[in-house]
Amino acid sequence: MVKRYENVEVKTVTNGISTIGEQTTTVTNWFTTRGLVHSVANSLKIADRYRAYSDLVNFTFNYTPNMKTIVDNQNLYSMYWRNQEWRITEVREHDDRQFVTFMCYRNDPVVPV
Amino acid sequence: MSVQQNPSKYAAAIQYTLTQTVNPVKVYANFNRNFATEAKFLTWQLRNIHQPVYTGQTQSNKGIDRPVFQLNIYSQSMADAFSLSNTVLQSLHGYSGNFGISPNRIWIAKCDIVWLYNTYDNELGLNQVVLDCTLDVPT
Repeated sequence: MVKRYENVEVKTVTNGISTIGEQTTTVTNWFTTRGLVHSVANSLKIADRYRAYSDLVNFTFNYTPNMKTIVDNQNLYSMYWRNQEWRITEVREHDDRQFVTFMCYRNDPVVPV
Repeated sequence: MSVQQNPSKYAAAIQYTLTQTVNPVKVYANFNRNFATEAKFLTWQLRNIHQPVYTGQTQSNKGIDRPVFQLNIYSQSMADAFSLSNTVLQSLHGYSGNFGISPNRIWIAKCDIVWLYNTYDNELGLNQVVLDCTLDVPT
């Protein structure tokens, strides 16, 4: 089986407020790393009127102090891989604390059926 | 004779003034996902922007504007919600003068606040105080 290591940029997600009171989300590059990419999956949900496409992927990284920071505040970070932003939905720390696995998702545009 | 005021300018002036008044509590124009991580915050919504139009064919033949912004004060604790609403009342009820910061500063003849009610939202787990603030904006 081929190990699939790919470049992943880790980004910080900051929420702010615009001058007219709108909540804003700013994504800033924190560092670039190499992660084990696996279980890439696209899915489609057809609702009454819309098709919603969503994608899932798992990234496994070495367990470092930076990764622990992300584990503790998963809402404040996103992964940038294959030119797309991926938000963290689930985190699995490996029991030996050598690795950590993030399940990340992104939603493609919702289109009419 | 007056020109129609720009609602975006009102929005920026309200946002700035409220942020200064209740700092460091966050202020938003509308309810957001922020409630998940913030124990107390304010939201406002602007309505009833209207300069009465007087008889005549001249477009600038209008009166002063009296926009209203509804202020919702959210807090996990009822005491905090009441305390924040008191802060707003003490600071802004009856206030007359500059409102906001340049380039979105407007001059208001008065700010008139009515406390409508307080309530509790069981789904959000947040106490809420609803205030109606009327601004008199001479133009």
